[in-house]
Amino acid sequence: MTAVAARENPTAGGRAGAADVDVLIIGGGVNGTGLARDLAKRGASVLLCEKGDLARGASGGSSGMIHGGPRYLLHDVETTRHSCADSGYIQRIAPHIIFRIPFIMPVERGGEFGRLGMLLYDTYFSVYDRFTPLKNGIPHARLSREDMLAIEPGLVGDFLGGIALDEWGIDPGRLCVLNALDAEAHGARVRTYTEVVGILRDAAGVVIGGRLRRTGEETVEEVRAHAVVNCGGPWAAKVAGLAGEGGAGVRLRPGKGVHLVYERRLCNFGIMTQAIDGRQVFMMPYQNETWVGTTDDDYYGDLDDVTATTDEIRYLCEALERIVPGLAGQRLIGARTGVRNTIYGWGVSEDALSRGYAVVDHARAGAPHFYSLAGGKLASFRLQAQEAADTVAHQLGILAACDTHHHALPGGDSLPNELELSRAYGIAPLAARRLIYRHGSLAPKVLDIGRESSTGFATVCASEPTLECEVRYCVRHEHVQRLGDLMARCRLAIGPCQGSDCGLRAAQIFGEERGLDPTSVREALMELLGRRWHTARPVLGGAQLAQAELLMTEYTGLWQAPAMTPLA
Amino acid sequence: MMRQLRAWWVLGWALLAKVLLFPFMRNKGARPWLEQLHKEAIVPIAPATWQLATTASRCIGCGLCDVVTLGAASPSRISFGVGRRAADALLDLDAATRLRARARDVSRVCPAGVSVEAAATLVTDNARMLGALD
Amino acid sequence: MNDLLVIGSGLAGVTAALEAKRRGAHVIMASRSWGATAMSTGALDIAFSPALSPAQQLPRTVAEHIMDIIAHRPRHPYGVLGVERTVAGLRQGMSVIAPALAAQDLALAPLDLEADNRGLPSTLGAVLPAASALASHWDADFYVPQSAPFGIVQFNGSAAFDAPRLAEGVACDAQAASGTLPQLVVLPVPMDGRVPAAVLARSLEDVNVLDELARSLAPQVRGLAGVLLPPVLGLEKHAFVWRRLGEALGVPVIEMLGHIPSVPGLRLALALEAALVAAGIENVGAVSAPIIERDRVVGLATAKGNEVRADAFVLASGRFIAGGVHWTNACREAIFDLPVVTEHGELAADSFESMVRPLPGESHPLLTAGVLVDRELRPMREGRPAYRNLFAAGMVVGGFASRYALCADGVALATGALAAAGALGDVAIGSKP
Repeated sequence: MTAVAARENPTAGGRAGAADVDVLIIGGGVNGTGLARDLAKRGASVLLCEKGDLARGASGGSSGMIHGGPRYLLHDVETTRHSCADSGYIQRIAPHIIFRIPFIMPVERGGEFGRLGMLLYDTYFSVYDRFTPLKNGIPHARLSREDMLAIEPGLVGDFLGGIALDEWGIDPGRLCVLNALDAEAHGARVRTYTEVVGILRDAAGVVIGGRLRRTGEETVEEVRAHAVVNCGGPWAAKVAGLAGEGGAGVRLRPGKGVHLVYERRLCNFGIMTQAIDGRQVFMMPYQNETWVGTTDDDYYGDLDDVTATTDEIRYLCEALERIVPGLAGQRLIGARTGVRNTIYGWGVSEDALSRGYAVVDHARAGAPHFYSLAGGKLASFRLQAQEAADTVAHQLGILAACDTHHHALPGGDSLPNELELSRAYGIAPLAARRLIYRHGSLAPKVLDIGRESSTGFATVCASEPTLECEVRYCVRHEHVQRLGDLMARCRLAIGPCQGSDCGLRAAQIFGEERGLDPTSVREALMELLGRRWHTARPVLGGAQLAQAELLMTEYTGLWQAPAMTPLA
Repeated sequence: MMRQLRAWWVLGWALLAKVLLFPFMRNKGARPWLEQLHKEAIVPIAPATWQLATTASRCIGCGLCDVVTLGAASPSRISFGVGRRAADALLDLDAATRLRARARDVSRVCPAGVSVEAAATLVTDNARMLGALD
Repeated sequence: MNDLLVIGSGLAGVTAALEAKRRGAHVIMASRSWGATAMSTGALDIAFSPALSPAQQLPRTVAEHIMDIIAHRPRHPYGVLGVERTVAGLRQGMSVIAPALAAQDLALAPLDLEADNRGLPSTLGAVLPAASALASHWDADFYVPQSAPFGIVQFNGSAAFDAPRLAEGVACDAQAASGTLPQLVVLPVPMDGRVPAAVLARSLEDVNVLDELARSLAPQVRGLAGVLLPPVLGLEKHAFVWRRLGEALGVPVIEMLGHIPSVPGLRLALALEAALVAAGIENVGAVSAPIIERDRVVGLATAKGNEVRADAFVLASGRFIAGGVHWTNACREAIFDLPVVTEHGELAADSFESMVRPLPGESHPLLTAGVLVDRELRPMREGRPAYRNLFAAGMVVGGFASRYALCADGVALATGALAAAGALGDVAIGSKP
């Protein structure tokens, strides 16, 4: 189940035979892209296939918190240390897309531990503080009730006091894209909207490649690989099943999670509290929004279509409105959903369970050269990838060690000054700030595209803002196949406007870059609007309903008119 | 199992130490923590934010206010832009002044009932929170 | 004493107010702000019903489109009114609005119910059907084959009006509708297009700037059937700017239908406002807290804290954009708390799942929400008119949305005129004797 099993494979067979590529990676979330980067940097030739867009699954639905794992401390000190160290590594390699999120955790008088609560939490976090230097954390603080109200005046409740702690957050979409780009820079190939529909095995049952199919097309192509790694996230069990019985050993318990998105950043400090069933929930600032999350329910539905329900939304609203009543009148703009790829408890080592992931070598099930990276958290993606890469590298006979924690992701090597950038290119300081956030040292490269035409610095989406040159840059260089892919890359249309402000112009630019005919441009617009609608629909009320009506009005006449059949 | 025991061991000793040393330890409270964060421009939001945001955040981006002010104040760009993140307030301090100058035009046309006064106050209040401890 | 108080100054409210004025009533207006009317593209959406099926014939006249809508959407206001009252209401509404706008120098194309919708080019890069429009948008019909090429103006650096992209889209739609591909030639002009459309429109009110535009276009327009531009030919002085450019170029000058933020919508809203002033109709601002006596509305409270009273009331407060209908914990009408219906009937659910479909392009029941009205346009509550002297017009009336069956302006005109007539005691308009 771990790297130990892999060493039992004869190395001689590890890279023998003709193959198109050393490693075929299935899945373009943080695991797949992280692994592709690691292996590519070690000199392996890699093909990554993702059936949708990068970060479309669990990664894209995550809360983006790169926490050091305070919860691990209850079970496993070493894991906590590794986790915090890795949080530090991620900061080092992606300083531009990472941001600090300070949290306060009120300790209620009627809480779990009663009056002992303050003492217990204070103790716990003072132990955790030993690891915080690894991740540039600030030691925790014990807050009095007055302290807490000074930090968050909107708090109500019977508090003994609280704990102040800080964590780090990251944009998961950008993270996956940057991983993929760096992998490519080291020779990997990344193909989105390409599904692996079969696993090739030779007569002895050894896995020798995969069968791929582009979304929407019929033809299937075969790719030979020396090793195949399943990073399918919540779909990992299904992907493992492509190897028949050889895929045994991957059992998941998908957990649905919902995050509510509010129209603006209403707080600078996150707040942790308990929901009605005692589960920990939080409100946290995320870029220019506020997120409330999360739920964790066993999910048996369609993994490709996960929607928040009214009950889930009410559950979260009630939980936070109890201690921050000011949240009640605020404007909701979306409900993001994702499914966690939690490993099933039975049959997995305690070690794996405590860390939440396992690198499965399917040689034990009779499918050598096939591996699965099951489970995992965004926060420990680099560690997970390292372990999986070590396993695969061993098979391939690659001796290079992991160095993904030593080199920055694209754009992370230095951060330009926002005022200088703003002046040099004549763009608003806020636009410069957001560009630097997303692209770091590559921001000037993005802005240079703006000089190609007289519309290059025009704002496409005011919610960020996203400029035209950034849209073009992402379309040209960041694996954009569909217009909706821009949502994860430059935050186009994810804001309150739902695409009414920016959709049409973005579709025109996309059409120009790709040489699309007008019908395809319109289809692209509809695809973008449909993507955004999915998160907007569950929370359509209040101002967001007026926004939806505006969206309908804005594009009146463009909507595909259905035949006017009589109503039921 | 060993790992779990180790965890309990570490936590247990820490609890004991805390209980014994507690009377002798002064709680520094929030101040050092907040000072550290202030250096990174992370400050508490202005207290009135919760209440002001309800009317300021109604903007649906219809652009009527922009059209009627001929883009001078770009009110909707403020609602959608610097207004949404307190830390960005310092980037466009002028925004509040521009908004207030055209308040009557905006309220005459805004279908969503966005309060210009609320939107402008959000920008200035949060700018003050950022500059307050400098 | 006020005979009529109209709540809402969009197209429906102003139609109602001017119709009442025409009948000699003492009318006042209660308007909080602008609404969806100010976002008009410049077209008047009266009735357009997409083809029922390949086997059925596409409706050929606006009147047939109306009948098609009624046949398939019985709860649509056109269905509630019936075809005769709808047609009568449309004619009445146009007869009151067109002269009022013309007096503000904003001409409307005539509405001919026996003609079909024209295909007007839009800055969305499409051809949209319209039964009438503000005059400057009307002189091109891309639903019929074009014999000569059109020019399409490109202002320098204009991201919002990207002429080559728009030309592609318009030509594509025109070919699909008419069977032939029109020729659209891009006409670059050195004017800075990076400013917002309204600023460009204001700058063209300066004769010098306008004449320069004419000079840079004139050599390029020989042999063209017309020149298309984004709707930037002036704001209040639009008529002057349009006429002057047309004279200078000697070919038809056609403004494309706009999109948000809309200059044509601004012109329409300003002209409607001015029409109210010209008619001497006072605006008391936002109202709330209705004062009821038995089964009649007696008055409402104003924002200043006074009361305003009238004999009859027309509610034309709009839908979600303007806030006439809103959803906080449930979907309600905002001022009188009237129950709300959709085109499917009663709005029972308190959750969105059944009322909002998975794809934005589908027809969402929730987005057709509004008050239920009887044939006289009185809002209903529990099967009866809620109040004897309260009538409703425009988007606040439920049972329709304007996305495919483009009809919002038709509903505004027809219900505006008929609600005013009904409120003043004349319910016979359009009914058989």
